[in-house]
Amino acid sequence: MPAGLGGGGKVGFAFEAVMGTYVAPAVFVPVLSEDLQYMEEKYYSEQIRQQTIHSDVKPAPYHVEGPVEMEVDVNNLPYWLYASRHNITKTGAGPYTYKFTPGNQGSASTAASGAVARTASITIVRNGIVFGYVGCVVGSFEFSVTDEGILVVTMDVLGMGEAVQSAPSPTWIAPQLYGADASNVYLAASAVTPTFGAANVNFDGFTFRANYNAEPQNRIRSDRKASYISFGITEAEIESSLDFLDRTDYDNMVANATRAIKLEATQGGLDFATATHGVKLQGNRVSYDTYETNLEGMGDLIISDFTGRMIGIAGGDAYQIEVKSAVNIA
Amino acid sequence: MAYTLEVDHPDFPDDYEFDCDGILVKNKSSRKLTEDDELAFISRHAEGRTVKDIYGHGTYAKVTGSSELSGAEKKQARGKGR
Repeated sequence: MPAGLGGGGKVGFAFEAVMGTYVAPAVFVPVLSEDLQYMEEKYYSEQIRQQTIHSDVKPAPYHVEGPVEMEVDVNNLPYWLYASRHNITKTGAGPYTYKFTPGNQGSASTAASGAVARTASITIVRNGIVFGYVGCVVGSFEFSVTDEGILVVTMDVLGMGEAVQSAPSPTWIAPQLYGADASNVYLAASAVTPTFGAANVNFDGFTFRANYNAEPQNRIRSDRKASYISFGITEAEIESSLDFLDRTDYDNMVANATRAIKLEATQGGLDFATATHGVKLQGNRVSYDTYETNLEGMGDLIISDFTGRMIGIAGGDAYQIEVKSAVNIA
Repeated sequence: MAYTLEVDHPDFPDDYEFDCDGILVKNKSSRKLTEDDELAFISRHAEGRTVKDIYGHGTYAKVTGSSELSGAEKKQARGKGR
């Protein structure tokens, strides 16, 4: 086999009917990069036997983990968000609107179907060689807008194990990406259903992340794969920079007043309700952790950098991610 | 005889077109592959895999048929009466 290039690789995704049992890809996901790795701390025996070097090695429990970075495309985004810790509602009759809100599950789903969180098999082909990762969940994710205005996301995957699989049968569809003409950011008072007005045109960068503090759990059994993936505390944040024009949100930070913040990305920047496809990232109750502004230098713009933590709201959800897509997940 | 590549993906609308390693097929439809299709497919794979290797076991995109000529086709290719 000659040396290969990353561009010749492929990443496939499928929901599992049984947690940890491999399923060949249902969709193929165009990624920018991936770094899914086999993780094991082998046992090296420190027997005292007139030598000062390890005398034996035994395999230890293992799991797989690593990031998958991709441009946001609503043809595959819902699949990844199903594999995270979310409560899910699906409405519409094509296009479909998927609404993901933070869940409280303690571990990865064992569900085989329905609008519920599920585990995934992720197939990665590197230089023609197939890796089949099973029992995968998205333990954390981060959406951001690049300097070029492209909405991208990194999914941090944790999985139970890996084994070689047969070469998958790829099926690719045309990309539906969100560029500089797609995104708008909105601010409002925090509420279960915030009332957003006109877009705020001062944002320079936008990051929306959630971390479920997922960890592999290895139980005593004659199988070295992880038994399952557990979830911990949900930490969800919005981070951004914007032109510093008034004290409103600085004062909100000082006064501990919460806000609602939303980024909408739709084809051509259409309103989400009328667009045929799009993504909405919305924090319903955001507490400013930090709100910093300064005089950086004589020739520098005066900018505010903030980090806001998304927290619970009575009768609602700390955040919601809505994806409008032609994809019909059963 | 020839290979036929069929795509039937329940998650996607009927009008979505799938790129199957360079061969375009609309969802819920099929395409009969020519010899040129097959040769182009093999040339795209450094490891020389055929369309049957990749799509012979597919779930949503699968190939059926054979690239071999049947007896009748061979006869027809040779011309009547031979």
